[in-house]
Amino acid sequence: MLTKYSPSVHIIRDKNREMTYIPTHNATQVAQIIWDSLQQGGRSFNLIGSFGTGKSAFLWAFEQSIRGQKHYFQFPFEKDSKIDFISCVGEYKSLKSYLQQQLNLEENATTQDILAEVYQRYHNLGKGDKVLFLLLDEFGKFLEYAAKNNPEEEIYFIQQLAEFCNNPNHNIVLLTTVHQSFEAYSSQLSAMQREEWRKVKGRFRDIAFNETVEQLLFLAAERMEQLDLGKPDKKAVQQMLQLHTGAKAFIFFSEIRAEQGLKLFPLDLFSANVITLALQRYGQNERSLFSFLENPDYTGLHGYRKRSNPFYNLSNVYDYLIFNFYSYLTSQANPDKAIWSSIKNALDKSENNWEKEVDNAKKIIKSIGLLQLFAQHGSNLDKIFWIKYAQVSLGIDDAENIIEELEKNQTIFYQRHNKRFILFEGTDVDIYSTLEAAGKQVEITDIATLVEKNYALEPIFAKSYYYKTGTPRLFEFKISNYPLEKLLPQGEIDGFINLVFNDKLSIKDIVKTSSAQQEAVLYGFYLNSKAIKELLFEIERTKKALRDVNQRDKVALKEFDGILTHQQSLLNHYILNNLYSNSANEICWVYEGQQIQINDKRTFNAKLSEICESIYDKAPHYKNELVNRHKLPAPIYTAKRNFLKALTANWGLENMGLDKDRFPPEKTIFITLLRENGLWPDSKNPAHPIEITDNSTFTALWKESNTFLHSTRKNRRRVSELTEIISKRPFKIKQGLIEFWLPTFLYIKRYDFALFQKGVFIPNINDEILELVNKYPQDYEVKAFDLEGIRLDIFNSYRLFLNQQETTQPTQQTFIETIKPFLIFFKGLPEYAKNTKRLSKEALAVRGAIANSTDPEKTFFEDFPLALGYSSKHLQSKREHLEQYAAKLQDAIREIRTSFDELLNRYEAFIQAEVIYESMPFTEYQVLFRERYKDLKKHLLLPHQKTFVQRLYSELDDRKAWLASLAQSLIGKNIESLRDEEEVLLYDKFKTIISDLDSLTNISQTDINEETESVFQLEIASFDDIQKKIVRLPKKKQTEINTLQAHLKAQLSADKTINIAALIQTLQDLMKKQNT
Amino acid sequence: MSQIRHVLGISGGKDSAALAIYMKQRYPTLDIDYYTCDTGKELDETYRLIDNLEVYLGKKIKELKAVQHPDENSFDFHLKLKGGYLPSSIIRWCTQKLKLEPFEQYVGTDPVVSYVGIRGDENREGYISKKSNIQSIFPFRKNIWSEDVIRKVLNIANIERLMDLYVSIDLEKKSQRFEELLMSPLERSFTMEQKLHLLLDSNVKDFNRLVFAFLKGTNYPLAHEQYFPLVENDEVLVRKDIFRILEESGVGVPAYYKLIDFEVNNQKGQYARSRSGCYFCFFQQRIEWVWLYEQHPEMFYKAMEYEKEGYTWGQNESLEDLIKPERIAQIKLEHLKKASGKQRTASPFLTDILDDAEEIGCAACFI
Repeated sequence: MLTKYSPSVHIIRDKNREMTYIPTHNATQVAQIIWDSLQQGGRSFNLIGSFGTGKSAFLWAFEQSIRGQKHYFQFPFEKDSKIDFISCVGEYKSLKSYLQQQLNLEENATTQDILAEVYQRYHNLGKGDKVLFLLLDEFGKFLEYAAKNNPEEEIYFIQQLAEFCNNPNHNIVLLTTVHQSFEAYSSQLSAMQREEWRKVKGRFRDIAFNETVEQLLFLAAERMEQLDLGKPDKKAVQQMLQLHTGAKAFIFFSEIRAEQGLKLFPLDLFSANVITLALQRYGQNERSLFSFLENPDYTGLHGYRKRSNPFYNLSNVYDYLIFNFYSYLTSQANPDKAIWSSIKNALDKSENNWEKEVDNAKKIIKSIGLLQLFAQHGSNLDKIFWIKYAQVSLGIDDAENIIEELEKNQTIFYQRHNKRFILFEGTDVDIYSTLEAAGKQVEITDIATLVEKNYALEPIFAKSYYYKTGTPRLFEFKISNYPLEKLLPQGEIDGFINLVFNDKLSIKDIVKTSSAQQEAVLYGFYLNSKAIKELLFEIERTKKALRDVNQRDKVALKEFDGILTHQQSLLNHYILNNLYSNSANEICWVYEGQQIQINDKRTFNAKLSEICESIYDKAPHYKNELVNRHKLPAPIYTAKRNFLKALTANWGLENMGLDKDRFPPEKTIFITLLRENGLWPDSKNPAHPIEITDNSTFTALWKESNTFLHSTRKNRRRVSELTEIISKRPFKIKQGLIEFWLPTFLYIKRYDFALFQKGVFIPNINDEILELVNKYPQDYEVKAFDLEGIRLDIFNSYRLFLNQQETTQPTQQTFIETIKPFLIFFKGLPEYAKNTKRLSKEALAVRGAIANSTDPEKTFFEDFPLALGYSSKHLQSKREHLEQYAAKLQDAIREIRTSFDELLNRYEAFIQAEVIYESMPFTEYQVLFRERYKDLKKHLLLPHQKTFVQRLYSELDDRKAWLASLAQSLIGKNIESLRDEEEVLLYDKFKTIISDLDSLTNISQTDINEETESVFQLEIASFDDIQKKIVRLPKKKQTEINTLQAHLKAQLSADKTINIAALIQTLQDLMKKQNT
Repeated sequence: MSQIRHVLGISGGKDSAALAIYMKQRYPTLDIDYYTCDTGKELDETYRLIDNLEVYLGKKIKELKAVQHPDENSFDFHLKLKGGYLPSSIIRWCTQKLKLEPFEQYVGTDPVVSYVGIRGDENREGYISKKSNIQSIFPFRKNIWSEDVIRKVLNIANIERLMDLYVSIDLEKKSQRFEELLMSPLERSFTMEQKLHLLLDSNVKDFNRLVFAFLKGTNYPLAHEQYFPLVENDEVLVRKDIFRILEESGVGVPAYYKLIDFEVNNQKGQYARSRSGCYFCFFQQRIEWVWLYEQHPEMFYKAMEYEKEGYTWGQNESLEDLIKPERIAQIKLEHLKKASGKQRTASPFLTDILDDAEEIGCAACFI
C-alpha cells in the first residue's frame, strides 16, 4: 500500500516505515552484484551515485529484502540464517567518534574497542549462518571530514574497519554510499596522503549506482501504472510511437514497445522524455520525478486540463516546470535561462499578435521551445512533425496555419540544416551542455590566483589616520593561498590586507605568520574558501564557454555574459560582504598575531588607521594635501621651485623673503614645514643653530636625518640611502613630502657636510642642485665633516698658514675658503712650475695633491699628510709633529712657488758662468752684453740672431723680463712654459748664439778684459770657403784646457804636417758643428 | 679749498665709468680730475664711453700718453723697445708702462687721493699704485680704505692711540659693542679681517671717522684734509648697481658687454666681452677671442699679426689654431656648458670646480 510519498529516505528513521519502492533495473542489478560478491567472499562495498539517484532508498529496500520483510530483491538465504543491521547515516564528524556513540561506547574507546563491539554484536547472533550488515549511508560526509581533519588517523581507522570486515572467517558486511569516488574526497591532500587513500579504497568494491533516464522513465511508467490516470487512446498512442520513431528526438526508447507507451499515458513520449531530462537538470533526479508523478496541482498529471489536451503534452510540461521551478529557471544560475526567457518573450509576443487561437499558438511555442532545449541533434522536427504532434498531443487540428503565421511574424523559424523549428530569439547553442563541456576543461587548483583575477580590489584609504596626520595611507589587497610573509609597502602603498584562501590552513597558521610580521599587514582568513572555490569553478567554466561559443551568436554571448555577471556578483558577495561582516564564520581577521573583531566597514577602516598609528609612529603630521602625497600634482611643481629658490636665496629672512601679505603655496609650505617646526632662523638671532621645536611631530624625522648625516663622518653615503630610510617604517614619508623635506634638511645643514655628484665636489648648494638631488638622490653623496680632536688642529694649522682665522666649527664654507688659496696658488703658477719635475719629492706630492684634489676634506686630512710623509695617526700623536708638518707644508709650497724663479736663477747662473765668467748684478751684465756686441756686423745676422740681438738691446730694464725675452727668442716659446727637458736645450742654444755673434764681431783690445778672458780669432781658408771663428774663454778654464791639450799632444804622430792637417780638420769639423 | 688733488682713472671699463658718475652725483663738491691712459689698442666702444662720460661730467677727461711722440702708438712703441717681446701674465710690462707709469708721472709728487672702482661684491685690491703720495679710496665698498691703511689702524701697537681717538672725537653713537671690538686684540682666532668686518658691521660711519682721525698723524694725503665727505659713505654697490647707474645716467653700458646670440650645433647661446682694455688682452677667455673674431675680425687679425714671431697670446694655443671652425664650435659648446651651470664642468678636480675667472685681471686696465 502506498502511504505518503517521501522525497527522501533516511535509513534509520524510515526503518520500520511503510514505503512504496519500485525496484529499478539498476537497483535490481546492484542488489545482484552485492549478493554475488558476498558469495565470493566480498565484504566491503561502496555504492557510488549522484544525488537523488535513490541510494538511500536502495539501502532501505535492501534491508527490507534481506530481512525478508519485502521482496524487492531476491536474496536466497538459508531459512534459519540470523541477520542483523547496524545502520549509520553520515555526519560531518569523525567516523570513529560517530561509531563510539552509535555503539554506546565510552568517548575514549579505542579502535580495538569499537571493532570488538561490532564483533560482539555479530557474535551475539548465535551459532549457525549469520550475517551482520554495517550500513554507512552518506559515507562521504565522514570522508569529507577526514580529509580536512587529521586525514592520516581517520583514514587509518577506515582502513582498519574495512580490513576487519573483509576477514572471510566471519560475515560482517560493510555497505557504504558516496556521491563521488573515494579519491575525489582526497583531492586536496598531499601526494603521500592521497596514496594512502588509494590504498584504503582498494579495500572496498566500488559499485556504480546511477539511474539512467531510461530507467527513470521506466520507474515513472511503473508508478503511473499504479496511479489511475485515465485510459489511453490506443490509436493515439500508436500514432505517437510512430511520430517518436520518425523524429529521432531522443535516443531512449529507440525500440520502444507499445505497452510502455501505454504505461506512460497520459505522458506522450516527447513530454515523458523532456520532463525526465528537465527534472534531472533542474531538479533532483528520481526524487523530483516522483514529486512530479505525485503532484496534485493543476499543472501536474492529476490536475491538467484533460479536455483540451489529449496527452499530458510538452506544453503541460512547460507549465509544470514554470510553476514548480520558476525561481530557478529565471535565475542567472540557470544555464538555460536564455531559452527560457526567449520562450517567455515569444509567448508575450503572441499575446499581442493573436486574437483567436492564442492558446494554441502558445502551446506550439512552448513545445517548440522545449524541444529546442532538449531534443538531440540530428532529430527531424519539421513542419509535418509539428502538425502531426499538434494534432495528436496538443489537440490542435489545424496547426499548419498557426505554424505559418508564427513563422511570418518571426516568432519561430525553421533551421534548415538542423531540420527543426526554433524560437526566433533563441540560440541553437545548448547553454547547459556547453557549460558542462567547458567545465571538463577547467580545473581549480589555486583559489588565490583566480580570486585575484576576478578581483580588482581597490586599495583602501585609512580615513581617520589621514584626518589626524594629513598623510594618506593606502592599504593594498593581496590575495594568496598562504599568508604572505615578505611584504614591503612601497611608494603609494603603506600597508597590505592579505586575504588568504585556503581550506587546509587553520587560524593558527595565520596567527603565526602575523606574529612575525613587522610591516603594516592585516591578514584576513576566509573560512568559506570551499564555497568560493566552487563559485570560481563556475566562473571559470562560464568564461571558457564564453570564449568557445560562436562569437556571432549574440544571444548565447549575452546569456553567458548574464551568467557570468550573476556569478561574479555572487562572488563579490562572498568576498566583499564578508570582508566587513561581523560573522566569525566567514572571515577571521588577524593583526600582530591577534584575532581581531571587525564589525563593519567603519571599524575595519578604523583598524587600518590604528595600524598606521602604531607602525608609522615616527611619521610627522603634515596637513597639506598638495604636498603630503605620493606624487606631487603639476601645479605644486612651480611652488616647489619657488620654495627652493626662496630657501636658498633668502635664508634667514622674515617669511623666507616672500611677500608678507600674499599667501602662495610656497609660503604656506614655508610656514607649516619650516617656521612652525622651528626650522627657520630667528631674524633677530640668525646665527643661532637650528633646532627643532620641542613638541614638533617632525622631531623623529629630524633626529633620524641627523643620525644619517652623522653616519657620513667616516665615509660618504648616497643621499638615496636617506630617502630609503625615511620611506620605510616607522616613517614611510610620502614622496611628495620627501621632495620638500630632503632639500630643506640638506640646506639647513649645508655647512656641515660636503656634497658630491658622482664623486665631483659641489661647492655651492643652490636651488638647482637641490632639485637635482631630489630627482637623482642616488647620484649625490654626502660626507659630513669629521673634525673631532686633532683633525681640527690640523685644519686650523692650514688656516694659520693661510692667515685665516682659527675655527672651532668648520663648515662647508670654511673648507672652501681654506682650500681655495691652494687652488688659486696652483692656477696662478706659470706653466713651468705646474709641470716641472725638478722639485723635491714632497713638493711634487703636494703639488699633485692640489692639482688632483676632488674633496677638500680628503686633501687636508689624507693627501697633504701623505704627500709630506705623515699619517693622520702620526700627526695626532704629538703636537710637535703637527708643527713640523705645518713647516714642511710651507716649505713645499715655497719650493713650488719659487721653482720658476729658481729656473731663472739657474739660467742667469749659467750665463754668468759660461758666457761672462763672472757673477755680477743684472744691471752690470746687461751693460756688458751690450758692450760686447757694439761692433757686431748686424747686416750679416740671420733672422733669429737678429731677434736675439734686438732683445739684448731692448729697453726691458727688469731682469726677469729681459732674461725671459732672450730665452723666448731662442726656444720660440715663453720661458714660463719651458719643459724640463728644454732647459738644457736653452743653454745649448744660448752658447751657440753667443759663439756665433762673437764670430761676427770685430774685436778690439779695448773690448776685452785680458785678466779674465782669453780670446782667439781663428780663420781657416780653403779654396771654396773661409771659416772664421772667435773663441772667448775665461781664464778660469785654463787648467781644463791644459789637461785636454796634454792629452791631445800625447796622441800626435811624429809627422808634423800630418799632425797639423789632422788638427785643422778637427777644428773645421768642430766649427761646422757649432754653426749648425 | 682742498689741499690735495682728487683723481679718478677712467679705464674704459664699466666700473670706473660708473664710479665717475656716482662721485659726481653723490659728492658734487669734490673737485675730481679725471684721466684716462690710452694704450691705442682699445675697442671703439671704449673711446665712445669716454666721449659719453665727458658729456655727462661736463669736464674734460685728461688723456695720458705713455709715449709723447704723436706718430707713435704707445703699445707698439714699447713693444719695439722691448725687442718685440710681448707681455704675458708673468711679464706684464704693458700695465706697468702704459698705465701705471703715465699715471704716476701725471701725479708727480703731489699728495693725491685716487678713487678706485672696485665693487662691494669683489674681494680684491687690484693692481694699484703703491707710491706713498697716492692714497687709494674705494667708494663702492663698505670698507673704503686701502689695505695698508687698515693694517696700520688695526695694528696691535695702535690700539691705545685708537682708543684715545675714540674717546676724544665726535662719533655718531658710542656703543659698548664697538668699543669692545676696538679693544679686542688680534689673535689666531680673531683675524684683522674679522675685526674689520665686525667693526664695519657695528657702525660704518664711526669707523670711518676714526680712521680719518687716525690718518691725521700720518703721511697719507688725507692727513692734509680737514674734512673728507666719503667718511659718511655707508653705501655698498654691487654689479647690478653699476649697470643701473650707467643706464640711468644716459652714459650707457659699453656695447661689448651686451650679450650677442650665437648658435652652435643647433644650440643657442650668448656671448660678450667681459672686460675693457686692449683687444688682444692675454687675460681674455677663449670665448672672448671667438667673440672678437666674429664681432671684430679686423682686430682679431691684428692680434694675429703679433703672433708672427712665434709668440702666442693664449697659453699653448695660437690664434690661428683657435679660429679653426671645429675649435670654435668646441669653445662655444664649452661656454654653453659652463653658462648653463647645470652640467657643471666634467672635471672632478677642485682646481676646475672652484674656478673664478672674474678674479683675474687688474684695476688699472679693467675697472
